[in-house]
Amino acid sequence: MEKSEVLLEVKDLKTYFYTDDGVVKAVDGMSYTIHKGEVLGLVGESGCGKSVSAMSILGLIDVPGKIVGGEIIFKGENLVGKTPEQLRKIRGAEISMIFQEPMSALNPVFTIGDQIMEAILIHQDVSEEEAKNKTIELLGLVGIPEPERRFNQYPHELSGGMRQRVMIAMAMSCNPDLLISDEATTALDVTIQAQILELMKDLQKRTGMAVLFITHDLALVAEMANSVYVAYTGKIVESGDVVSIFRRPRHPYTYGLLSSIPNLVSEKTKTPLPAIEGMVPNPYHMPLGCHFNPRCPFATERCRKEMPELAEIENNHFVRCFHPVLVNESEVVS
Amino acid sequence: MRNYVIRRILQMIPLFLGVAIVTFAVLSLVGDPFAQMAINPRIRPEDIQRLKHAWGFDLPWYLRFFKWFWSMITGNWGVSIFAGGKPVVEIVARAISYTLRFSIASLIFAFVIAVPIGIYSALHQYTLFDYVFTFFAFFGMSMPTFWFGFILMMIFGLRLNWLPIGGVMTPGMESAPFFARMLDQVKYMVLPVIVLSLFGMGSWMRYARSSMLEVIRQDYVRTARAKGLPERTVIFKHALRNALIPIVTLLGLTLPGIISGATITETVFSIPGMGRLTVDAMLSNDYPVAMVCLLLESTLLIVGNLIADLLYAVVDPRIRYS
Repeated sequence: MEKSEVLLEVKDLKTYFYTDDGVVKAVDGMSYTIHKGEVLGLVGESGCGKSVSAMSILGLIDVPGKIVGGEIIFKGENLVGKTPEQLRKIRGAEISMIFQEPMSALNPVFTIGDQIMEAILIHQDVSEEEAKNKTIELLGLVGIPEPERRFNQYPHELSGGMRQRVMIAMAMSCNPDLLISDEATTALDVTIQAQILELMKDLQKRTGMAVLFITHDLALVAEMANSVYVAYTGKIVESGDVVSIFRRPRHPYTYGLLSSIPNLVSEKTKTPLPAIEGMVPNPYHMPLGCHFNPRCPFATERCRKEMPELAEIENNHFVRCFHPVLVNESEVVS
Repeated sequence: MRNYVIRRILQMIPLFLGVAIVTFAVLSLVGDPFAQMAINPRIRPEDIQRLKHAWGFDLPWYLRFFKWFWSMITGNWGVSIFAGGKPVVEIVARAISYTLRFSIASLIFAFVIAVPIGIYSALHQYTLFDYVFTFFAFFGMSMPTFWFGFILMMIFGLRLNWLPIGGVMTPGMESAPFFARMLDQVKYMVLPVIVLSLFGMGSWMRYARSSMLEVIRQDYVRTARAKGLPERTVIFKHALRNALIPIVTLLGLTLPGIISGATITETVFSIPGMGRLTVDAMLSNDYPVAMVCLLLESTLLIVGNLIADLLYAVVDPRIRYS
């Protein structure tokens, strides 16, 4: 894909949480770049800092959390250090976000029409009447049947998939340049999940907005993204375009994630599904050296002492590892 | 919805009947109110017999109950055995008129002050403000009302001589002009209302605080922020509306308390209200008065529950009765 203008650049972002039990470095020097119209997949297990980095972009980090370092350059302006009021004007207008739980992400006591309209009225200079028409149009756009009737319904009267469509309509209401989707399909049934992904892809193509697609599911990333960033314990461990990541994963973590996706071959041969040994390290007690070393089959003495830097291993393919895996392309099935 | 209300009201009838029977039976276990007269040498045994017959104490309790119940549902609530044979309706209405002014004033006072404080505390959790008012709330809830009442009487009534220490009005003020009479009665209300509302305030504050704390952690509050709404709208529209749901329903449940009165506070401040009337009537076995008091309170409890359920449907669109 032709690289166009940079829309968002997260540079060495550090978001720490100062709890009574110690400092949790949820995001610890994460960097990624999203170009206009690009879909970037940010992948990792829970606790790897992917959601916190998204909340940092929106300026929604609450105490005891704090952005302690780095820059978030959006359309040439650094969002870190902007006042809450400046950030509020960007939220929902230029950058919007959809969340994991459609069941609880909508306010139960207001109609869905009211909740979508609210976002329009706050960011656009339109009358109530216009906002209402726009809302009904949006509901139709995200594939909700009978939008006029749905407008006056409460969230509990809608299914999970429909509610996520409402969330998308709300996010799309001000034609954002960047849509952050934080595990937006995780809580849905597979069939509904496929529909929502299809809808997001379609809207992305139509509007040309960029999408930061956060998930733990690599299969979804392959489906959606142009480029992929793999995060582990608050740092990016591997990044590259979707083909190189899936064909030639170099970091043992990415490799492990990819091999643990069930496929038709393992299904037939009844070979047990490989899994990554161990657990995500305790955020209060990060291992010395490479954070992945306790779970890594290739770890050496050096890995236990030093944290490797993110290094370009082939064109635009970065890996944070001293001993990048060499794989035969046919070995990993995606 | 209408059918639901009708069904609930119909369900109240057997419940009311059951409560009436049990209450009457329990009151009858105490024996008849004239037994004590037997030890008084100035009352002749045949007079006692005549009284017993007149009040139906020569009948088994259930026959007496039917007689009483029939006259009650036909509108004749009878007269007090003591208190000079005054009609029960008059006695109870008078006691309610006193109780209501204290209970409503203290409920409004407690609610209007405590709920905003509780919500503010939740939004500023673990700040000095929160700690001070959390302390205040527990102070209010754990303070014995009779003790606190006496302390207030001592300070403001006896030491400073600002306010009367008990009763409901200054003797002789009955014929005073309207405003002078009102002002006089308000003075008598100040101390008991403080005692009563301090207790209520503590619990309303805690309810409001915990309800708001729960709500501001909800995903939809995060959604509202992500939409770019001003913090004011996030709190006062999205969070507050949800936080008030349990509080509004609790209001329905306080209904019986408004009528039943606070026996201890009424005793301390010599207020002739419902709490004292009920206890006195039961102690002297004045069953026509006691029955009306107790049934009134249990009816309000049942109605209060229905109101709470209906309010719940009003404030929460997820609740629908059919």
